[in-house]
Amino acid sequence: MIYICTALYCEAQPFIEHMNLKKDLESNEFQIFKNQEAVLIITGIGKVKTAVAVTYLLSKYQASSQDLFMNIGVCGAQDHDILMGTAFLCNKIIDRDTKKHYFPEMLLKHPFEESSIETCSFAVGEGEFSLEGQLVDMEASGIYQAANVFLQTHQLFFLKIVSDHLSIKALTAEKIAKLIGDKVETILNWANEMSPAFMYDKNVLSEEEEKILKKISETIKLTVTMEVQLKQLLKYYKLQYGDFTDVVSQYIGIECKSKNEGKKYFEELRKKLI
Amino acid sequence: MKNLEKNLYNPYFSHIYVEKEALEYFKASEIIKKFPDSEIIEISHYKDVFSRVHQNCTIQKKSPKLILAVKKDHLIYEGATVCEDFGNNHFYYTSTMMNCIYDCEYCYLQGMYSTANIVVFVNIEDVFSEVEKVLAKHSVYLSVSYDTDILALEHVIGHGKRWIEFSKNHKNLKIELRTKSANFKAIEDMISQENFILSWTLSPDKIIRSHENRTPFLTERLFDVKEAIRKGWQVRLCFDPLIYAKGWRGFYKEMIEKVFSEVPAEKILDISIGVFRVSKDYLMRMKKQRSDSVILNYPFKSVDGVCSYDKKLAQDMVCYIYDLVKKYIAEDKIYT
Repeated sequence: MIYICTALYCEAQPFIEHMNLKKDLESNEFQIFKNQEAVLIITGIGKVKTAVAVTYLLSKYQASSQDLFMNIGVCGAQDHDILMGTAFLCNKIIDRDTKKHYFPEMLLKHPFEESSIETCSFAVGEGEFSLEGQLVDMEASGIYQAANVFLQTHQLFFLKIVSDHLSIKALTAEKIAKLIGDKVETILNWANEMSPAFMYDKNVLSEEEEKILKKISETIKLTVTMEVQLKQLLKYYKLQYGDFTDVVSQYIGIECKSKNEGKKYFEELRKKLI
Repeated sequence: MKNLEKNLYNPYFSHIYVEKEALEYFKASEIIKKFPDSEIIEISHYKDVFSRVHQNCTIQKKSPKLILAVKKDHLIYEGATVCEDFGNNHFYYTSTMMNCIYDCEYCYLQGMYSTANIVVFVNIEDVFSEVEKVLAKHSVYLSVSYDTDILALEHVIGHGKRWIEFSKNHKNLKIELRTKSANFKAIEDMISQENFILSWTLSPDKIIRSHENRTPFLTERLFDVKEAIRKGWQVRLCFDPLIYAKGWRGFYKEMIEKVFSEVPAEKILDISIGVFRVSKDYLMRMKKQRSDSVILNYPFKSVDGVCSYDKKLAQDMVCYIYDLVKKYIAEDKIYT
C-alpha cells in the first residue's frame, strides 16, 4: 500500500484524478481518498494538524512494514536560482521551533533533486528570518514524527515541489495543482519501481504450518511458553532441514491425558527437531 | 536479484553525514574528498542519524551511509568477559569506528546498534592521548578493531596505519587488529611491529558463502595471512565464532586442512577457538532484523544472559576443532 499525505486538496487533486481514487465515506474527520493500492489523506496546514491526520490514517488502515509513505506538497525555496516546479526529495528536516533535525533514509535511487527543508509554524516571507533549510514548509517535521511511530525510517519519503521563493501572494489552488500535476507521473513511476525494496518481510512458517503448530499445541496440552519454544524449533527445523510435516505428524492426532504426559511428548519432539 | 538491487539502491556511502565539529578535522575532509559524488549532509550529533528510532538494519545494509563524528567520551573500554584476552592483563578495547561494512548474518552488531550505518570518529588523536594516560600506569593489551572491521575500510579511513604508527612508539602497548578482510595490501608498506598483532577470523567457504555476505572467501583471506607472515607480522588465526550447521564437521575439517596446507604453522602467533555466543538481548534484536536466519533461529541455551549452543554441542565443536588444530600448532598456543 502507498500512503500519500498532502496538506491541501489542490495538492491531492492530481493524484486523485491520475489514480482514480474514490472518497472514503466512512471517514468523517479527514478527507480520505483511496483505491486498491493507495490511500491519500488531506491533512490541513501545520505540524499539529498533519501529525493528527497521519496518526489517524496509519492507525485506521493499519500500516505495515511493506507499505510506503509519501508526504507530497509544495514548498518555498530561499534560493532564486531554484526553478519553480523543481521536485526535491528531502534528506534533512529541520523543525524551526524545537531545532530538532530528522533524517529520512536515502537508500533508494530517485529522479529528484535533494535538499534540506525547514518546517515553520507560520508562513515565512522572504528575508524575514535566517533559515537553515534550503526549502521551507509547514508540515514535514510533524509528519515525520507521527509517521515514524508507525513505520520504519526507510518507508518515509518527503517530496516537495517548489511553488515560490518565500512569497505566496500570487499562489493559487490552480497553480499548485498544475505544479504537482506535472510531477504525478514521475512520482508514481518511481513509487512503483521501488516497491520491490519493501518486499522483505519473511514469515518463516506458512499459514498451514502455523495451524499444525496450534493443533499439536492443543493436542499435547502445551503451556504458552512451550508453544513459543515449539514454534522456534519448527522454524529452525524448516530453515535447516526443510519440511517438518513428517517429523511432527504423529503428534497431531495423539491422545494426551495430562500436562505431564504433554511434557513428555514435548521433550520427544524437541529432540527430533534439533 | 543482485542486478535489481543494484538498480534500486544508492551506492555505498552515497550520503555522508558530518558533524559540524568534525568538519574542522583534516581527517574528515580527507575522507570526503574520496567520495566526490556523495551528498554531504551536516548534522549536529552523530546519534541524530545513527540512533534514530525504527531503523531497519537489513535494508540499510544494501546502501550503508558514512557518518563522520568527533568522539567525546568512552574513548577506551575495559574488555568484555565473553571475549578472549589471550592471557593478557589489562585488556582494553577501543572503537574509532562503529559498525562494519560486511553483512554477516550472525553479527552481534545488529543487536548492539539500531542501524547499519557506519560511524567514523575523526579525532583518533584523542583516543591516542587516552591510551597514553593508561599506559603511564601499566602495560595495555588493546583491541582496536572491535565493533567494526578497520582493515576492511583501510583504503578509505586509514585508522589501521595510524594504530601501527602509534604502536611503534609505545612498547608497553600490545595491539590486536582483527579482520575478515583481504585488504592487507592497504597496509603492506608499513613495517611490521612486534607489539602489533594482525588477526584473521577464518570461516569455511560454506559459511562465508551463505552467512558472511560481502566478506572475502577463505582463499583470499589466506592469501593475506601468508603475505602478512611473509612481511614479518605477528599473525593470529581465529576460528571464532564456530557456527553450527548440517555437516559442520566436514566443512570445518576441510577448512583447517586447507589453512595449514597453505600457512606455515610455526609462524602463527596463536589460535583462538570459540563457538557462536551473544547476549540474550542482542539475540532478540538480531532475530527481529533477520527473522529467516537459520543461524539465529537455533534453539540456543541462555546462561547468565549469554545465549549459545547447549554445553554438549559447544564442547563437541570446540574439541573437534581443537583436535584438528593441535596437529599443527602447539597446545599452549591454542586459546579456547
